[in-house]
This record gives sequence, C-alpha cells and structure tokens, in this order.
Amino acid sequence: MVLYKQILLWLISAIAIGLFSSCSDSKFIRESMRVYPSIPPNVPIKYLYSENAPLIPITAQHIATVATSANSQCTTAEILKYIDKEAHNLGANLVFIKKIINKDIVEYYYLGLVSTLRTVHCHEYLVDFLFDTAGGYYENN
Amino acid sequence: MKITSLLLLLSALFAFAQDVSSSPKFSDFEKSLAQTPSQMDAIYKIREELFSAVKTQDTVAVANLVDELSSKQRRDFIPIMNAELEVVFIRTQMFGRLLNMLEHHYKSLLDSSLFDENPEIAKDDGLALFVANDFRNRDTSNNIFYSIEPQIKRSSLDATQKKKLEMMLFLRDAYRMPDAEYRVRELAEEYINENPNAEDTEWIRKCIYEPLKRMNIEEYYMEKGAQTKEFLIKEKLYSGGFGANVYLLLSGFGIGFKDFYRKDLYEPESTPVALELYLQISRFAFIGEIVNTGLVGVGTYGIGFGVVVFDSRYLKIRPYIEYGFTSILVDFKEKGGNDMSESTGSYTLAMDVDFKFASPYLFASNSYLASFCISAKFGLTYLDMDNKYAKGKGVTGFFDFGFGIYLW
Repeated sequence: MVLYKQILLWLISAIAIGLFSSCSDSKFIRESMRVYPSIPPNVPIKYLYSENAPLIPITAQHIATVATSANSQCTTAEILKYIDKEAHNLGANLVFIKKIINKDIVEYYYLGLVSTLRTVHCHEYLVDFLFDTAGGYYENN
Repeated sequence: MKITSLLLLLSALFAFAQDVSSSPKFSDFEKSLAQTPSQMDAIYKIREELFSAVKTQDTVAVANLVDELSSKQRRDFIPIMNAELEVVFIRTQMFGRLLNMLEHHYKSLLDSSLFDENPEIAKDDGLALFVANDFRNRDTSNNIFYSIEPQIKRSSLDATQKKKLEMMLFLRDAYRMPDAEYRVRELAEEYINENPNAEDTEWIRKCIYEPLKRMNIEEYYMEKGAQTKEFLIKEKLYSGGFGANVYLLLSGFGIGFKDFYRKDLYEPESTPVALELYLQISRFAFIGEIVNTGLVGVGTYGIGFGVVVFDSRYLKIRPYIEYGFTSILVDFKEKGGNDMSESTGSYTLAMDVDFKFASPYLFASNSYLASFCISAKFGLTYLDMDNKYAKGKGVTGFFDFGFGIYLW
C-alpha cells in the first residue's frame, strides 16, 4: 500500500506541474488548421526582423504566431533553436521576429547541496511563422 | 660596368615599348573605375543642385531634380536614397511626394530582386552629410510625425492622404513604440474600413495591419487560438490517449454479505482512495485500477476493458467491465494469526463519466492536449469471497468521485 500511495503522490504532482506549466509556457497560436509541407532540416529558414522592416511581404501567408516564454527558453540561442525547429516542422520558410522583450526570471539552483535562488536575464520573442510563396525574403547584407 | 647599365636601360626600354605596342586590355573592374568618375560627377552635380534647391525651398526645382536622379537609378546604382528623399521632402514640405515615396519605399522594401547585392550608392557629398545630421538631430524617443504634425495639417493633402501619411510615418516605429503601434493599427483599420476597394487596401491589410493585430497575443489568442484549439479538440474526439483518475470520495453499499467484515481482524482505512489508469486507443480503453476496499490491508487490483460511447468538448462517458483480484495482505501476527495472503476474483460493471473542465495544450505542443477532469464513476461489483479470513457473497454498489488528467 505504501507504493500505491507513492504513485498517487507522483500523479498529483504531475497534475500540478501540468496545470502550472500550461499557464506559463510559450503561447502557440495557429492561424488555421491548414497544414504546410514541412521543410527539410538542411534547408535554412529566412529571418526578418521588425527593426529592419516593419511589415511582411505581400506574398507571405501566416501560419502561426508564437510568444516564447522565459521559463521554457531563456537565452537567444535556445529561443532561436526552438523557433528554427518549429519553423521547419510547420513549413514556414520565413520567420518575422516582431518583438524581443527582456525579462528577468528567478530560478532555483543548487550550490553544492544547498538550493538557492538566482536572477537570470532572459529574452522573450514574439514571432510570426510565415510561408512566403516567393521563397522568402533574402537579406542582402 | 657601363656596358651592363646600358644593357639594362635598353632592355627596360624594350620592355616598355612592348607593353605600349600591345593593345591595352582592361578588366571590367578597371573599366568601371575609368568610367564611373564622369558619371558620378554628373550625379553629384545634380545632388549639389538639389541641395541648394532644398536650402532655397524651391519646390519645383526639387521635384525636377529628384525625378532626374530617380531616372538614373539602376540595379547596381542608387543615385539618391529613400532616407535622403524623406529629409528633402520634409524640409521642403512636399508632403504629397513624401507620401508617394514612403509608400513606394515600403512596398519595395522586401523585394530583393530590385537591386544587385551591393549596389553603388552616391553618398559622399554635402547632401548626404546634411541628411545624416538631420537624422542625428532627430528626437529618437518620439516619432518624426510629432515634429511635423502642424505642417501636415496645414498642407493641401486631403483627409485620407493625411491619415495615410501619418500611418506611413508611424510605421517605422510600430514595433518599437507602443503609441506608434496603436496609431498604425488604428489608422490602418480605419483606412481598410473606409476604402474597402482601394488599390492598396489589400497591401495595408495583409502586410501592415494583420501582423500588428497579432501583436496583442492575448486578444489574438482569444480570437484565433481558441477557435483553432476547438477545431483540434473536435478532430481529436474518440482518438485516444492516456488517462489517470484519482478518486478521493468513495461511497457505496453492499447487498448480501453476511459476516464479511470481521472487526476483530480488519480496521477501516482512514484515507480511502482509488487510482485508475487507462490507455485509450480509438474508442477502446484498457484499464488498470487499484481500488481501496475501505479496510486496511485489503485491496483490489483490477484490469478492465471499456468503450467510449460518448465523447465531446466537456464530457466523456466510458462504460467498462473489469475483473478484479481482491487481495488480503494483512500481517496478522499482531493478532496472533499467520502472515498470509489470499486472493479472490470479483466482477465489476461500471460507468465512468469525465467532465473535462479545461483542455489546454500539452506543454509547448500545438497538437497534443491535456484535459483536466472531474471524474465520477458508479457501478456494481459482484464478489464471492470464501477463504480463511473472509466469507461472503453479494453485490456492492459504488459511487466514486475524484479528479483526473487525460493526455491526448
């Protein structure tokens, strides 16, 4: 019966984590249920930053919008890796990076055996995943 | 010594003569170096004239010179940049031209086929310096529109053009400043509503307005994400997944048992709980269950098979049949008996009802869901126990209440 109660405790924890993370995780919103063919991993995705161009090409079709969460991906490298992976999956050959927000989060870490807190400087990205029928915008510089 | 030096001189002369006699072969690059200066001189001359026309506020001359410069634009050569044109038109208050230029600028901004990779740019003269200084002296914390608003209001543009110019000027800061974002969105919406059939309505809607509308992620989610998720939920009904339910409120009744509960051997369990795990494939569910019988040391482990008869956004109904092993695992030593275990089979016919009150996406996934449920189940169990520690035959009815999670 001890094992049984242990399993129960694990389950309750899992539900709690599930409930918690469903609120704090990246927001992923699809425009429609239309499925675009995914892009092979060796084909690069094109990136367009709103500071360079505050608009998207007329040939671009919107697939999804994502707001990353500092709790899931913190560093720029992590975020870009996640975005790149999602873009390949979704078949988005163009990613419009609209906004980059600085966000500090507080996290637990272990110092030897002692658990303590630290503040970590993170970013949160707001991006549009697009399929550009013209093949994506090419940056010239 | 003298002969050697003479010979050297002669050979050098011959070498030179040979070089001159062969026709000169310049590479394309060298040719371009040789030709460009005169062309560039002409361009710089026009730019110089334009600069003086700006200073004297001669709008007719400015218009003509700008046209002349623009006509000289090639794939590999830009005689005047859009940023320079902007300053020129603002300084001379030629807002009609400014609007046309900005529209053209934004429409062609993402068309990489217009220019070669590194086009030559005329940028080393007084005009370029003047423009650079103008940009340097601008208040970067505010959009340029605020500083020229009175002039635009006084200008001869009609109301639609004024609004459009305002939108184009605010656009550059739309993703940088909240007020610009709000204003562009508002003006674009207004323009689309007022001119539904205009030539560039589609361009403004698709390229400017919609990406900005999606900036308010909460609002966009309410509008789109929720409806996409609803679509996904609808598609995934009856599809299957993995579920776990915990029942914390157990109640029931028994019929037919006599002397089943021996107070001298068993004690009632203080925390009655039951755990149910199930794997659903399409409409069919395979169930594993641990049921608390309400007595310390007595537990039922069941395996069952269920069918989902009804599945919807909020409600799932799953009747099932189950075979249970009721085990007695009590350490009787304290009571003077032997430590033994006995197992008896039981048959259950029951119905599980899940109320899925929330179905968010599972972690960062966009195709898997996690439903949180309030679960209830009720049914009947037939039990025939006949062993050393318990004896009885009968039916128990039960009604359990708890919560669960369903990953699908």
